Amino acid sequence: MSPAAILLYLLVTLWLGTTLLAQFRLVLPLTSRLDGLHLIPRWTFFAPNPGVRDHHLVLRDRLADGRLTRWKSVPVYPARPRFAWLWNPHKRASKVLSDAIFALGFLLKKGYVDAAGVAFTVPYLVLLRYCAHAVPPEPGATQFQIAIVDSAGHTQRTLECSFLSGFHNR
Amino acid sequence: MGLATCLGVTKVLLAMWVLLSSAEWLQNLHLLRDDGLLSWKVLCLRPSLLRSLTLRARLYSVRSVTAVLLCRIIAALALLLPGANHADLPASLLILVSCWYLSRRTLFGGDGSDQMGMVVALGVTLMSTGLAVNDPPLAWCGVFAIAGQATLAYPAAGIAKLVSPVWRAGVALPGVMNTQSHGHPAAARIAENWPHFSRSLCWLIMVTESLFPVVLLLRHDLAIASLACFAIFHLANAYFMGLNGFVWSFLATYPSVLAANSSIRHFLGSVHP
Repeated sequence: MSPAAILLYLLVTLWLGTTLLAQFRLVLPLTSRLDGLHLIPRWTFFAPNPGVRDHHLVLRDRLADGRLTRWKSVPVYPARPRFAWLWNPHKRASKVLSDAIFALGFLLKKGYVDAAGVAFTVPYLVLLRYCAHAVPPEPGATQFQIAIVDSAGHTQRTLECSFLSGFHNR
Repeated sequence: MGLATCLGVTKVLLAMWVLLSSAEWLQNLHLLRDDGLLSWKVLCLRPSLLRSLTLRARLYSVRSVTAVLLCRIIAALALLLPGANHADLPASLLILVSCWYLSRRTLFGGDGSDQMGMVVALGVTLMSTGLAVNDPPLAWCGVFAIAGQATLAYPAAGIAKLVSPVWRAGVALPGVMNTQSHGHPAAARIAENWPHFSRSLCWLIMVTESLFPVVLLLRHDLAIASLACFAIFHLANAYFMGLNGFVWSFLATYPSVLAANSSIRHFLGSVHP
């Protein structure tokens, strides 16, 4: 066996070993820190707790006189097409939304940021900036606020607000 | 399964995944615009990227991403050329680099099919390199990488479900099916009306995923039959959950799993030519 092959076998074995370790939550923060190139996969799909809710973004404006407008739905992705088993580009937007919301919840839950600091995090800014562009301001609006609403079900949906932002200038 | 056949089938499946994923990203370029969910104006604020901002802004612009996606499509078409050939190495290397690039650019929105696609691209790169420099052990290292990750992926998913009370109780699957993002109205109704059926299905998924490494030791025809069952599982996920990318990237690992099966059984002395 050539030295190059031996070296590659060692590297691949190390990679597989690190991947195995990365599946454990306790080791994950360490492996994530080492994984600048996003080389170490996590294979724990839909486990241990699968997502059983859909996420939606809503926005409202505060007018110059202090009145609040009604909540408006922020369009993120359309309903899944009939041939999604073959062609499903909208799954990206849905996944971006759920990843950003998960990251936001993770930062708050782990205490990495507090309620005031969350506004300076990337997932928060991703959602805020998108909402600000997706929904044009009402005439006379000076500020806006966003919320994350969770739902479950296909026909009779139960809704629950899981996050409420502060007000930001329009 | 021989190395040439393994590479031949793997690269076609990888090419199919790349074509699908790249075409879907091209459809999603609006997400990468300044007013999109993946606006670079926000994503560049990651602390690890707060250097060379002007260069990165160009590198990760919508135009650059489009160029990368088009190069990926050309590379995938090159992989579709039959048999092992000189285009395999540059094409698979380009796909591998583009996987890193997209993962770095997007931060959010990637899924397991992207991870496995990257694994397969790496494996095909190693296999092609080994064949190009006439170093079979080096080429087998690619098979080892792909089969190794597949053998980790399924049990990791299965065991993570086994330790979860919601999966063991059989309520995970109905819960997922009841969402619009990953569910299906008919499947949700079935899960609600036949809770014993959905609980059995949860256990079937957990046990079969966890036992995936056994495929490496099975007789060749049984190994093929087992992988066919896993392929049906991915097709069902594509139909009911919209996870279409998983079909191509995970099926692309199966030739390497079969090649590893042959090697292991040969090593254990259980193959009688």
